[in-house]
Amino acid sequence: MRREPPTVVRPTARVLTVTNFDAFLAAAIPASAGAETRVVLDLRSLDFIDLFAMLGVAYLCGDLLDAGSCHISLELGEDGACGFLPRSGFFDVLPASDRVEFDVPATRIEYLRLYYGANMGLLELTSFASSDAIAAVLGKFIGILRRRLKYRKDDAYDLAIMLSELCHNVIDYHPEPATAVGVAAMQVHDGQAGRFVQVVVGDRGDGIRRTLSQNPAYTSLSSDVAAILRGVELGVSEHVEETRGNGLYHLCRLVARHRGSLHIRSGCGKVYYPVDQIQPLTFRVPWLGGTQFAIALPVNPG
Amino acid sequence: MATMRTQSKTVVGGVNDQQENRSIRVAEETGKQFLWGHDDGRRLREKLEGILESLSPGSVLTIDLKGIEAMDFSLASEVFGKLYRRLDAEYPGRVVLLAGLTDYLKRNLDAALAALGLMALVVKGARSWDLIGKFAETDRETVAALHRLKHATAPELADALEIKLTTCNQRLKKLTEAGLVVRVRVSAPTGGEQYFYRWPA
Repeated sequence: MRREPPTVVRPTARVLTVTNFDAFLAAAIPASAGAETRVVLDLRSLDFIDLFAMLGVAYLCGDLLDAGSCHISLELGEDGACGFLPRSGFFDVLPASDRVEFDVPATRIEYLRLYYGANMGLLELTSFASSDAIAAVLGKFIGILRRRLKYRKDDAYDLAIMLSELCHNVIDYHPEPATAVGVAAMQVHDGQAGRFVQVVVGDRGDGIRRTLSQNPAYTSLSSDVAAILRGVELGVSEHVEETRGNGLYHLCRLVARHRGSLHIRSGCGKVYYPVDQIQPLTFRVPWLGGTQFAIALPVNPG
Repeated sequence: MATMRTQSKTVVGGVNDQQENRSIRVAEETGKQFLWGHDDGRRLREKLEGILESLSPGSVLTIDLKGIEAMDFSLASEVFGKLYRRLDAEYPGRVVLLAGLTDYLKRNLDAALAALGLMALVVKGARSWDLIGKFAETDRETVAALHRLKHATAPELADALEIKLTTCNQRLKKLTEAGLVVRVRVSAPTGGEQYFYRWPA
């Protein structure tokens, strides 16, 4: 049988972030069709990759492998942003990492992880699968905000509450909570408008639309975007209990109060809540399993 | 010991009403400074409901949150949302007070309860109190009057507030059903029975 050449997917920019990840994803998705498909995700040209995009690449690999017919190679190089992946926990959250080929030997990856050491300003991509694990993540998160970034107590607690709502949603809204796994991460970046904290939470669950449809009141949601917009309203939940469904509403309220922005991506839908704007921007995007959140907040030390 | 029990017997006008006041220190009970998520919330709520179940009408449960640094909104809704929502139907006549709140916790609980259309009474010592959540100014006025008088009949409160008795009774019914004030049956001077209202703290 003639072997088709691999599909090579490269970012079109030198940075890969929450704002341009979908273009990269769009190039990769068609490659998953057909037997004996080989996909090369070439990230060597990147100067920077944010946590959302990192998690997105990991989940993309998972989706391509789940399709059953894909052989994946990740070309990372040894310099630039890809040297950052080991210490960001990327390889710990990469699904089925034993089925992905790397251009960098495992020993080199481990060396880079140890060489850079623990970054006190970073909560690396951290998996969680229980309330106790979430509590540990939140404890570390508050510690970084207070001790490293000099946040006031109340502001640190607000950010922790945002993170808690997202992390607990991963478990609470999974069809089998005992098997739910999510990923949380945080890092400080220097952007055009100053320093900001990026908080990322993601899962490979059912997505917001399918989850909400378990509640008879929400079976007619027409799209993933519609489901996201509905999901942040007060009292909207898979559960019919009156006191459920408030977490994302309060999350949006806190993000706005801290003058932050919020991306919510689920299935084929993405909603972006910019800073200081009431109306969100909505996008139809290529499919990626599960739900991912990215919060960007100006660093606000006390 | 995370819970305290005090018993008081109120005899007014010949009718005995036994109230039992309980206090629970949440930080000691849970062993935590931070309360996160529905599971923690469900366990705490079940504990609180167990205490309410054991109390007779007219009794007061004080939930002392001293030592709790923060809680997320999912937990707040699970604990306080369900508790206050169920009070009138499942634990009629019981009063729930909140105490030991930091300003931060109070602000967040206020937002959580307001979103659910519920209100709660927060006390700080014998003199300081506040309403949080969703309430009307008339609720605050009525609670303030009862705080000044400490105990009063509906006509006495209506006089103090300079409102009609029927209006006063409506206000008191709302506050009683919300679990904010103690209502006690007493013998009326003219025979029969009437209610009087007591400041719960």
